[in-house]
Amino acid sequence: MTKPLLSVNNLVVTYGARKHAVQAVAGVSFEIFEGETLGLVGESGCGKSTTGRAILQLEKVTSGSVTFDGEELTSLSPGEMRTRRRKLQMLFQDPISSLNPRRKIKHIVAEPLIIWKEGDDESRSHLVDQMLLEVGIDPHLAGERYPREFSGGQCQRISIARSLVANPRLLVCDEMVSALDVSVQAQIINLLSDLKVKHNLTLLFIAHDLAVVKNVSDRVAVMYLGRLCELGPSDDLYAHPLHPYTAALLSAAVVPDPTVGLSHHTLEGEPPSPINPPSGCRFRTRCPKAEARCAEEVPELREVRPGHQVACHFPLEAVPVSIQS
Amino acid sequence: MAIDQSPIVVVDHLSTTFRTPRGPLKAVNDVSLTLERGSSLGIVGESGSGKTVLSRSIIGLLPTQNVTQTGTATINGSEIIGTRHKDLLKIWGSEVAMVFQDPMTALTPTRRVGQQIAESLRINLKLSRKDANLRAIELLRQVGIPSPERRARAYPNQLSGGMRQRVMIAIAIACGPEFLVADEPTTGLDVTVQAQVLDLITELRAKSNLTMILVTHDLGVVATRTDNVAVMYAGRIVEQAPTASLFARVAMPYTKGLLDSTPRIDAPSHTRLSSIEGRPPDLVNPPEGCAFAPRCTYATDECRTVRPELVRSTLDANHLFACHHPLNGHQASSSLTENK
Ligand SMILES: Nc1ncnc2c1ncn2[C@@H]1O[C@H](COP(=O)(O)OP(=O)(O)OP(=O)(O)O)[C@@H](O)[C@H]1O
Ligand SMILES: Nc1ncnc2c1ncn2[C@@H]1O[C@H](COP(=O)(O)OP(=O)(O)O)[C@@H](O)[C@H]1O
Ligand code: SF4
Ligand code: SF4
Ligand SMILES: [Mg+2]
Ligand SMILES: [Mg+2]
Repeated sequence: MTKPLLSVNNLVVTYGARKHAVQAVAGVSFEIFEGETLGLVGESGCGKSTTGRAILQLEKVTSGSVTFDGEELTSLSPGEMRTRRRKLQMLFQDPISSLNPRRKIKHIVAEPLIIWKEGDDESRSHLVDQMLLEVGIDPHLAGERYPREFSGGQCQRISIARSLVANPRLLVCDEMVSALDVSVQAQIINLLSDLKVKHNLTLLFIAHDLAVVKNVSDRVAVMYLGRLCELGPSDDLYAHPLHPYTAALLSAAVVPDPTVGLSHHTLEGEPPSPINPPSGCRFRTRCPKAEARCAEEVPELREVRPGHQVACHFPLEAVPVSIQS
Repeated sequence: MAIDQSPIVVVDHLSTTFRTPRGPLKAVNDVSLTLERGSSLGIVGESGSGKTVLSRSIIGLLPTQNVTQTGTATINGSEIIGTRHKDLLKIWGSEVAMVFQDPMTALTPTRRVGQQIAESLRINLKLSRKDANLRAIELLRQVGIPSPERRARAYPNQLSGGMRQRVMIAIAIACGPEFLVADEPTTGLDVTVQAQVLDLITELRAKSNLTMILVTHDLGVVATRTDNVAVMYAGRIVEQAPTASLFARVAMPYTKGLLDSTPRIDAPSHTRLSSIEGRPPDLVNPPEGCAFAPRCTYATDECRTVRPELVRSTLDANHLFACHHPLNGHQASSSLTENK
């Protein structure tokens, strides 16, 4: 197996202070291997974006470590971190507002090269044109225009060009296709998977849409109220979830096929406030399988099948590996 | 008492055009449809295809400035098109209810949610203040809000998105409507909350034989929650069928394109999605012929010049499509449009 490009260890991120402190991320650990896409799913407010931002040191890390390419990022000075940041790029949900409205497309895409003082005007402009072509934007038609003249899907392509021009290694994609129509979403997903291979990228793909995450990810991590519940290979995790929360999420998802029907095991209520999380297992207030032990003891993430980890005292029946297809 | 068998909603050759600085924009273009009592119709399509304008046109909830409409739409026999808002107020309060995507904009931020429900009850059902307050709490309980007495005193921003949508539903059902228009009611909500809200709507519909239009861009929601589906493209209905029939045998290449570009939870990871290239046309300058032709892999010269009418399929008289080269063995059984 390849080595991890990114290791996150016992990551804690706290917002606010003292009485109002909220642990948005409450001890999360995972690795992302070179060339891999790790999906991160969970309900709104569970801490997905905070995790992504903390990896890039855009959020103050309270404790724990983030190691990128063998280097600890949490102890770097802001100046040192800036020089590393070109290797770690982030893409967001709202591409139109994340592009500077007053700058032309070719300047927007060239900006990282200018910041990194890379090449001269001519080589930069050549690289920008090439990058725009790669994302399916005609540089001659688009270069002189402004973001507002483009649709959401086109702006997302331009954001991708901008993030790739500096040759990064890790992309953190936060809900980057969530606001797009399915037709455009499919275009962007396909584009991303082609570029990933071509540029040997490693991805953390954050989204709340379970089908999208399954499609793009090699492995998927499920998050609930600041902690990971389960982490495993996509197909295995979706076919045989081990954590009651994963199972509940999956049963709430719908398929565009009326013959499949609805599940009647959907979860009730909403996640409790992270200000005062339940003791023991954070999911226990909504878990159909909760027992006394769940209130007393925090379940740690442990491997129960090869490469498949779960944080639950009573994981769901694991299908023996031999009879999986 | 005889059961009313007549359709509750009849829309006939309805067009809605906005005056814009760039010229007239035909957001709804010659749409006809009928809703039987107690049925549900899902309306799907890419953003800008006219789903919201169509559903708002049917209930008369459009801005009055810069809009021209032709055709008719009736609810329980009353004409909506051309009727002044003042005269529609009675229908909005009692027969018709609406739920929108963003409940935050539909709720008044400075008033407690209980008061907002009670107010609608006092105006429309002429309840006393005390009765209205009690009924508001009962409605909050009915839509599954825990400790409704306490929640009635909350302001909208103190509730989660799912809770706010439940409050909107409570307001919508407060006066016992017969017809519900839900425009993207769960877009932006988590899957678990989406399932809860849709379950709630399903349950309420079953109790009171509520007719529903459910606007959504999510084909999974349509597949599981509606009896019939209308697919919109560039202001027109391009395919309409009973839900089972639509998913079993799609006729329009556009509908097929939408289905094929939707990632599925039951498909293996890394399944390559087939996307629809390009974008919907500019409705100020729509193409001649089939509006989908510039993006359609089956397009011929005929498609680019002759507009396909919505016709019935020989396979299923309830399956309508607007396409010169339909898929899956569909054929036009007559060149007449629906309702004529
Ligand atoms: N700047 C902030 N100050 C205080 N609390 C915050 C801040 N940003 C996020 N939080 C809180 O931290 C928790 C995690 O938020 P985060 O944005 O990471 O969630 P998420 O999983 O990305 O949700 P979504 O799916 O809605 O994007 C939430 O309880 C949120 O309210
Ligand atoms: N008030 C308005 N003035 C001008 N154009 C409008 C107005 N409302 C909607 N439109 C246009 O009508 C078309 C259909 O819009 P809409 O019904 O909102 O689409 P959907 O709900 O399918 O996303 C779009 O081109 C939109 O820009
Ligand atoms: S640890 Fe207990 S409460 Fe938590 S998910 Fe497992 S069974 Fe449920
Ligand atoms: S009419 Fe022609 S262009 Fe339009 S959808 Fe059918 S085959 Fe495609
Ligand atoms: Mg987020
Ligand atoms: Mg709309």
